[in-house]
Amino acid sequence: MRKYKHIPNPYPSGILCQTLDSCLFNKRAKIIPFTNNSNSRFTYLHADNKLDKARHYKIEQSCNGLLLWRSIPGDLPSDAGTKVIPQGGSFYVGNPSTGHYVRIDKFGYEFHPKFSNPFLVFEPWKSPHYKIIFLTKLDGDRNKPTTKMEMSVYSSETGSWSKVDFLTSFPNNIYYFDNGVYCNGAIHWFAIGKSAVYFDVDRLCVKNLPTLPLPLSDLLKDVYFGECGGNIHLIVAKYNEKLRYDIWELKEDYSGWIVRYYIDLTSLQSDRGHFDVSCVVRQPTKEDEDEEAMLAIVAVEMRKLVAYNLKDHSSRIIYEIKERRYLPDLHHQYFETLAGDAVLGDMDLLTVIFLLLPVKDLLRSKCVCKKWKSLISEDQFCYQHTLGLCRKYKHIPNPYPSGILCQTIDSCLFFKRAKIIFFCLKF
Amino acid sequence: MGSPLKKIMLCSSEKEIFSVEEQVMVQHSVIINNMIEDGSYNYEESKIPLDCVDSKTLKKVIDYCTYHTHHHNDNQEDLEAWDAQFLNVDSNGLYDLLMAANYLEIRNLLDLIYRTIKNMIKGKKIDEIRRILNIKDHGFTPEEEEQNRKEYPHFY
Repeated sequence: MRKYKHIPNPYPSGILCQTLDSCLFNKRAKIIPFTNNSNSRFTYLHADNKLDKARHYKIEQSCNGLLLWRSIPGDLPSDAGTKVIPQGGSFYVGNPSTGHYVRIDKFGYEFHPKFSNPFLVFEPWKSPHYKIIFLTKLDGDRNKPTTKMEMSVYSSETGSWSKVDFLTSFPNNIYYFDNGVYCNGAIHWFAIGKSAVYFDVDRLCVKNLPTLPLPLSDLLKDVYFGECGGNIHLIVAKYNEKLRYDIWELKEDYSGWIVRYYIDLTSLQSDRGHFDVSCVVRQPTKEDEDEEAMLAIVAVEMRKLVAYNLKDHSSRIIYEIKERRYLPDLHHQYFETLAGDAVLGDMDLLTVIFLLLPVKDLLRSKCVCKKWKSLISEDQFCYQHTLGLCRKYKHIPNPYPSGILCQTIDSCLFFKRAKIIFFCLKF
Repeated sequence: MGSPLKKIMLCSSEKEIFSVEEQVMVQHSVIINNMIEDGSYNYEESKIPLDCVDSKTLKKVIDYCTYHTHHHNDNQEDLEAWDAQFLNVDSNGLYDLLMAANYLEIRNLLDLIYRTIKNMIKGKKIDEIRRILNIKDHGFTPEEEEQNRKEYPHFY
C-alpha cells in the first residue's frame, strides 16, 4: 500500500488552536509549541479578502507544513459542539511559518449535503505541488446503494479544478462521510459499528479496511482516528477498561491492526477521566535515544492541553485552556517548515530576490509589472524588508552584530547619545 | 553514505535517465541526501523521478554539482568565472534552473541564481529589466502605465 516513501514526513512542532470567540473572527490561530520553553504566539491568515465578505476564518486542515483555511460567510452554529457545516466561502492555502497565502478560486460547485470534507494533500517528498480533493456521492436510488461518485481535484501545478466521475460501490452507511483521513494516497474512514473503508485516489476504487481483532461488544466508542507520519492511528474506548486506552496502528500492508501504544489515564491526573485526543505526533529522535519520540496531544477535562509521551508515559501540561470550550475540530498540527512555500506561486522565489535589493531598486521595480508591484507592496514583504531580516531562507544568515551600544547614566542619557563599542579592535 | 563511485539514477520530466555519482548529488541536494540517508533508495532498481525538471535543466544542474564537487579546492576567482559562464543562459533557462534548484534544495546554486537575478535588476531602468527578464505582459492598463511614466520619468 505504501507506494512511495523517501523522505520522512516533517515533524510538527506545535498545535494550532482556534477558539470560538476570538480566533475565528480575527483570521488567526494560536501556536502552542510542544516544548514549553517558548511562549505561545499567533499566526495570522495574511490574505487579501476584500472580495470576501466572510465573517469567520477556520482552519480546515494542516498537512505537512501547509494549512487549508476556509472563509465562512454568516454565523456559526450556536451550539459549539456541532461541526461547522461547509457552505459557501472560499479557500486559502498557506504556510503559517512564513505567512504566505494564496486564495483558491471557487470551482463553481453547489455545496452538496453529500460532500466530503476537503482534503489538502501536500507531500513535499513526492512533489512540490499540493492538491485539494473533494468527494461527492451523487444521488442514487433509495433502495440501491449509491455507486456514482464524483471527485473534484484542485492542483497547484495547473492552478485549476478538474472533475472525475466514476462508479464504485461505496457503502451506504458512511454517515460520517465528512470525517475522512488522508494518508498515503488514500482517504480512510473508520467508525465503530459502521463500514471501515478506504478510497484509493489514483485507482478510484474503494476497499475495506481490516476490522479490529476484538469482539464488537467490547468496544464502547472510537475516540480518535487520524494520521501520523504515514501511519493511520485509531484509539478506541473499551467497556472493560476504563483507565487504559489502546492506540491501534494500521499495518503498512493494510493486513490488520496492532496495538502500538496506550494512554494510561491514571498518569493524566484526570479525576473524571474526560479527555479528547487532538492528535498523535512523532517527534525528532533525542540524542540518547534510538527511536523517535511519540506524543499524544490530549485535552483533559476541556481545560488543559497535555503532551503525553507514549514511550515513557510521562505527561506535561503545555497549555491551560482559558476559552469557554475545547473543540478538537479547531486544533491542528503546526509544522515549522519552509516546504511548500515555493509552490504558493513562484512569487515567493521572487520575494527572496527582492529582499536582497536596496530600497531604491525596489521602488523602481514596482513599476516593472503588476505582479511585482503587488508583491513589493504586501505588508508582509515590507515588514520583512524593513527589519532587514532574510530569515525566510535559512542559508541567508541574520545580520551579525558588530558592536555594543552603551549608554552611561550621567552623560549619554542626557545628551541623546550612546557610545558604540566595536567588538573588533580595528575600528 | 556509499562509496564515491556509486551511481544513482535521476529521471527527468521527459523520462530520460541520468546516471550520476552518488557523492555529487548527496553533497549538494538536501532532498537527494535525505533520500539516500533514509535508506529507501535501491541502487539496483530505483530511479528518482524529478517530474518538474526537464532534461536540459537537469543536465545543467548535474553539471553544476559535478563541477563544484570536483573543483571545490580551486581558488574563488576561477569558480566565480565558471559560475558566470554557467549561468550565461536566457531568462527562461534561468527561471527553469531556479525552479529546479529550489525543488532539489541545492543551496549554493539557489544562492548563485538569486544573486544573478538581483544583479540583473539592480540599478537598471524599467525597460531594461523588462527586456532582460523577458517580461512582455506587465499587467498595467495603458492609463496606469502612462501615469507611472509621468510620475517617475527617471525610472524608464
